[in-house]
Amino acid sequence: MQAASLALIGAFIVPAKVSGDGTQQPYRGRSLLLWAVAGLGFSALGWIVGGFMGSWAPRTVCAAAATAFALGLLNRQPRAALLGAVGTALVSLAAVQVGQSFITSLLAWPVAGLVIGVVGAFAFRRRRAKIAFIVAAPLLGSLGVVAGMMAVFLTARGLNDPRVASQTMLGGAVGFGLLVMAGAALIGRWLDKSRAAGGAS
Amino acid sequence: MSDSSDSRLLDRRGFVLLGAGALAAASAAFKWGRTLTTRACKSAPPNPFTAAGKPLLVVVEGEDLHAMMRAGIEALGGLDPLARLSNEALFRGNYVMSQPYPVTTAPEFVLAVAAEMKRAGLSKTSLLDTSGTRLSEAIQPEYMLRRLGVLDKLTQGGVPVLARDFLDPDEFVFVRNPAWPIAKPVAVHRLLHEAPIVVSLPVVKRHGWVNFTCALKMHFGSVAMADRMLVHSKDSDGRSGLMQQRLVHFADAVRPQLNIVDARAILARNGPGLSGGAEVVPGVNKIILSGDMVAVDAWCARLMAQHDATFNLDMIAPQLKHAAALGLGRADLDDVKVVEIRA
Repeated sequence: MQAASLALIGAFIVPAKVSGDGTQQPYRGRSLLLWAVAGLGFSALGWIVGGFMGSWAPRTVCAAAATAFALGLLNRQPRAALLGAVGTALVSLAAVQVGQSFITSLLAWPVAGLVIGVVGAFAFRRRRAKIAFIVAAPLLGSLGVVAGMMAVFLTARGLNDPRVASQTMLGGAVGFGLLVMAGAALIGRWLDKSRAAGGAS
Repeated sequence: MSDSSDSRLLDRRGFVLLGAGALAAASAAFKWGRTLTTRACKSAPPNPFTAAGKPLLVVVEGEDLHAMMRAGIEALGGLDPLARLSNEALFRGNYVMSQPYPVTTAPEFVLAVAAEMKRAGLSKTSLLDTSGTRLSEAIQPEYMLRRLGVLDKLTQGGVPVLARDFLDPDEFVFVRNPAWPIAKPVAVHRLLHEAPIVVSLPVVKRHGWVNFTCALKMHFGSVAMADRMLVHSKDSDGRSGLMQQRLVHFADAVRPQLNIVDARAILARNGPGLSGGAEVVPGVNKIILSGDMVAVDAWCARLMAQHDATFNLDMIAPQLKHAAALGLGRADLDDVKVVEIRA
């Protein structure tokens, strides 16, 4: 029972394609683990680099743009990655500016998620996957920001360490990248498989 | 998305790009990591306001704030010891909520201190406050100061106000004194850590959790919001003693050279705001000046006990004892030269 559960989780994270004769081949599509780690790493790096340029606005812009860039790169579309990153940066910068004088600059996160959703949707073949990603990206992004912030603060509270607590907003950025990219991987895996082949999972 | 795999995972171009990316990532991570390093607390020179080897504490009673301030500084021996350190001073007030004096430091009090500093030869005085964040429109760092009229009055009076973001990690540096019983550092504001002269301008208040707020407790506002939240969340009712210890560490991280308390009125029975049965006691008409913040709190606690029957000195004994043990000052007023004058 336990082994079966582990196998199920393993197949979900590191999927394999089963060919006609029953042999398993590595899945060449979107690996959940790789995409999630890439989202986490790129958004964290973007946040840190943004911090060298100023406060919340450059941090948010760079983290969101880096996530869009990672999405394009992993879709093996470097030109689209660059365009997506620039587009996400511009729109999220505008959202931060609006948010600073209207409610909160945290509004930039769902806005950035929406831009990434729209730009990233072009990488999917099937309409249902495109729509799902456009809807899911801002929701997952927002959820990621909140969950990431909470995770870091609760960790800091457990360790009673202000150095960890000071990185609460970095946790939000990491959560954004992680969930947006994990969402893209899952949608690609479950909603974008071809009708004829029956998918790669 | 294509499912086909490339025959070569990494060609020369890919290798160069990956290398450049890895290098950039490593440099950014290194630079970021340096912001998390812990330093020693600032090394403040010994208390310059002493008499016969004892810290001097001057209490001025009167009605005219400017006359009281001048008399107090003269009784302290003048501000030359500060002017020798630098020609710039950084003020810290108590701005915990948008309620006027004695909940918060009065702008006219800051201006009166600034005028005396200028008279002593200091060319620039500024007020630092971190009671907001740019992440939210409703609690911008300037919001409370503007509502209280502090921002406008000080700016017009030639005292720049530095309203900083309490959530921005780049605004703070991590410091630790090895003598603290808690191994974790404290994120104190960078400007306070680097300022050659810090002047604290506390008010005298009761506090619902730690019983009393004056020269020590006011430095909760000198550290990052992350530190404040950690202490509040770990010691939500102030009973575990963490808050009593940590507020001393926060004060140790700032180590102001001079404390000038505005006790023309005090907030008794509860605090730090006007709610929960707190009462403003007007007509106390005192200002207290000293380079020793522990002595200031010891003396002001007695003042509070005179005006608030629900307060006794045992309520702040733990924090005074801890502060004295760390060398922040003298908790026993027999070891302090107290000078009381009228102006």
